[in-house]
Parts: sequence; structure tokens; C-alpha cells
Amino acid sequence: MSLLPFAHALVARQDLPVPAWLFAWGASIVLIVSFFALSVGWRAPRFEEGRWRPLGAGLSRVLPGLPAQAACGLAGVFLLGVAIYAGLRGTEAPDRNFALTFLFVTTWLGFPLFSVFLGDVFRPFNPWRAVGRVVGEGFTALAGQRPAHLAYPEWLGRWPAAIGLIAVVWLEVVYGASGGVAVGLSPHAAGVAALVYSGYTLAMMGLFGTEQWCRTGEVFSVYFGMFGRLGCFGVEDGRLGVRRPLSAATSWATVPGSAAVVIASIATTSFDGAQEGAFKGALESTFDRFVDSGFGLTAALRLTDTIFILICFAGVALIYLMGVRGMASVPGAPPFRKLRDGFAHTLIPIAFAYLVAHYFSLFVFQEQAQFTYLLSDPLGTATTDLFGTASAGIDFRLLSANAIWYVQVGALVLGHVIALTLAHDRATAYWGDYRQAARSQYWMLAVMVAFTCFGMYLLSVANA
Amino acid sequence: MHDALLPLAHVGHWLWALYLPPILIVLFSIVRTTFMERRKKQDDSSAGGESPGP
Repeated sequence: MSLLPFAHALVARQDLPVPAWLFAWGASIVLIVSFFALSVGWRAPRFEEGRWRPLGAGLSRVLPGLPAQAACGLAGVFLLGVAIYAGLRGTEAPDRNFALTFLFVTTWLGFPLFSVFLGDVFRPFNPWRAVGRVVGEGFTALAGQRPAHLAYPEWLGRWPAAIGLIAVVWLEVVYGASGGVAVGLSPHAAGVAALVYSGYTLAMMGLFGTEQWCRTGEVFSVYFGMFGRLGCFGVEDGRLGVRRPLSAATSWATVPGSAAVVIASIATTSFDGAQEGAFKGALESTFDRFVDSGFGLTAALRLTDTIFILICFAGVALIYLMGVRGMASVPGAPPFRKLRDGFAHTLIPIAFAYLVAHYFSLFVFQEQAQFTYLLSDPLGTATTDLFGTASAGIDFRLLSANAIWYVQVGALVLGHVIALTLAHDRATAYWGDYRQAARSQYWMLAVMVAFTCFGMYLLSVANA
Repeated sequence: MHDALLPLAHVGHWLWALYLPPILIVLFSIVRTTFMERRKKQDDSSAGGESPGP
């Protein structure tokens, strides 16, 4: 059976000039130096105000305008339809079927990448939002009034998205595992899951309203939108404009459950990275215990992986909350809950850095498949060649193992330095006095160094 | 003749320990700074609390 190279894509050995653990030490030194530079030179908050300004008059209205929105929405609905159809009717070979690569690589990894630089680019392409808006407008035209929705419980916030995020990754890396060998999700299961999720999302949009559900409950909107807060483009009052990069992130975590979303992102990526390396021994012994207790092989494997995903979530949350608890001990600190929510956005660059570090090579290699043979033969049945590229393959020599490692290390270091900068900026806003702000950030420095070393360890073991 | 072998077969299982020192150094620095600040605060308050005398 041919397999998708979901496990970080490459197994070539690295030839590093120094041991991998020394890179972790070097990255920690970069963080510590950055911390002292921020403490001395960054004395007032700079990201609290976005300084949004509209793009040129034509562009700022045309891009978010109705024709462009309709075109993007149609494209989103069409591509989702192709993915579902390919999943249900195409080949069961995961590497030859359009559905898996499109849903779990092109969409799941591609949108965060573009969002980080450009802002929330998923919003206009969101197929469920497009359908929800059309249905809402149709209802208004027929009934002569706007559809009535239930009031969304404020306390629920983004918790549905956080749980949904874990569920999506669970589906990809746990549900598809069977018999002790991770084979990934079957295209048919992915197609069925996409259908079920579409039904669930449209039902929730009907209950709470399309925009409300996209803001808080729709997994992909919340997840990609979170990364979009780092980007420099944003829409305000129906106009597209430019803002200071990273500034929109400061207002992201004001909704309950936001911290859970970003923690879930880091935790699920960590689990996916650790399951073939760092957690391998622990996973195997837990799996053996479940099998000895009478569980079937598949059930034991899924149960084991589920437990470890939850452990990862608890571990990442614990590290973050310990950092927040430390900050709360500094004189002049705001209440714990305000700190917990107020610093959650500082984890977004870390979540992105973890994504890049763990999936960069997978993305580069699988996108070659996406834009050649999967596009020409979406069903993978060798019956179509729409663009004449059905016989193309993946060039695995495109990236050397060393190049991948340096991108991974670079992403981790840069992501954590940006996170440290965001945290320091928020601290100067909360404490006022920059010395006290710097004092409070000792704890966040510990959090960042811990996440960096943990990330490097996962990579070194996975690549070993 | 018996070869003297180092028990290195499982050394790979302990590689994770090499990733700990940076974290421990930062944590140690934080704890040390916190205690130093507390001591300084106590010294300041006890010095400020003494009566200057007639």
C-alpha cells in the first residue's frame, strides 16, 4: 500500500556540524540576548494600536466587494466539492487521491502560511460561510426579514473551535492509525468527515448566525484567522487596509477559549512530531498495556494516541499557566485571568513556528503532487489527465536533510523571538514601568526557552 | 582477555537531558533573582523602620 509521507516527509540523515542539542543551546542564547535587548530598548507598547490605513481607494473597496467575495466563495465551494467527491469516489491509495493532500496539506498548512503574511485570506474562500451567506440572503429576500438566530453563549467563546481543532488532528493522526502501523486517514473517511463537518457547520450557522459561528465556533475560520492576526492586511468597515504587522494579534484573545485554541495548536503539532520519536517508547508501553487488558489492536492504538494528545494539551497548558502564574507574582500585576487571556496571543507565533518546523518538508514535497498529478487526476484512477501532468512525480531531492533542519531551527528561533517581543510589548502596556515589565517577563522567557528546547528535542528525535 | 566496555548502549535514551540545561539555567536565575529582591526589600524595610534617634 502506498503511503502519504505524513511523518515529516523525509527520512534522509542529516550531516550537521554540531550535535542537535547544541542548536537548542544556541537558540536559548539568542532568546536570552533578545530578552535583554527588549528590556533595555523597548520601553513603551507599540503593538496595542494597529495604525490601520486603507489601501488605495479602488483596491480597498474592490477586493472585499461583493463580486470578489462571490468569486472566492464559489472557488471555495467548488474545491470542497471536488475534495469530497474525490474522497468518496476516488482511489483508496492516499497518495494518489486529491482529497487527503488538499484537505490536510494544501488547506491545513497552506492557509496558515499565507495568513501569517497577508492576513485572514481564508475568510473569503470559506465554503461554509459562502453557503451560509447565500442561504441567509435568500431567506431575507423570501421572508422579507433577517433570519432569527439564538444568542451565542458568551462563556462558550472559542471552545467549540478548540475542541474541533483537536478533533481534526485526531481524525488525521489517530483515527487513521490501525494495527500498530500509522497508515493515515483513508480518502473515503476524509470525504465522509468533510461531509459530516459541513452538515454540522451549516447547522450551527443556522442556529447562531453565519458570522457569529465563523468568529467563534468554525474550526478553520478560527484557526486560520488566528494566524491571520499576525499579517499586515485587514478589513475594517468593508475596506481593505494595511496595519502594523503583529498588531492585530493583541486583540485576538479577548474571547473566552482563545488560549485553548492556540494551546491546542501547539499541543497537536507536538504530539504529531513526538509520536514517531520522543513518545515512541511511552506510546508502545501504554499500547501494550491496553492490549494486555483485552482491547483490540485498533482500539488500543486509538485510545493510547488519544490519551497522549490530551497529555500534550495539558502539558503545553501547564507550561503556559506556570509562566502566567509567575508573572502574577510581580508587583503591580493585573489579576491572573487577565494575564492568562492577555498573553495568549503571544503563543500564536510559536504555534506557527511549530507548524513550519514539523511540516515544512511535507508541505514542499506534497505540494508538488498537489499541483501536478493530483490536479490532473483528482480521483487517482488513472482515467483523466486534465492538465497533462498526471504522470509527474515528487522530486525529493528538492530539499536536503540539512536544509530542512536549518529551516526548522530558523522557524523555531524566529517564532519564539517574535513571541517574546509580543509578550514584552503587552507587559509594557500592563505594567507601565518598563523595568517592572521586564521583570515580569523573566517568566515568559522561561516559557519560551522551554518551548524552544522541547521543539528542538522533538525535531532531533524525529529526524534521528 | 576481558574487554572493558562502557555501558553506552542505552545512552541515546538520555539525550533529552542535554536539552534541559538552558531551561534550568533560566529557572535558576529567576528563582535567585526573586530571592535576592525579597531579601533586599526586607533589608530596606527593616532599615527604614529603625528610629533615627534623638
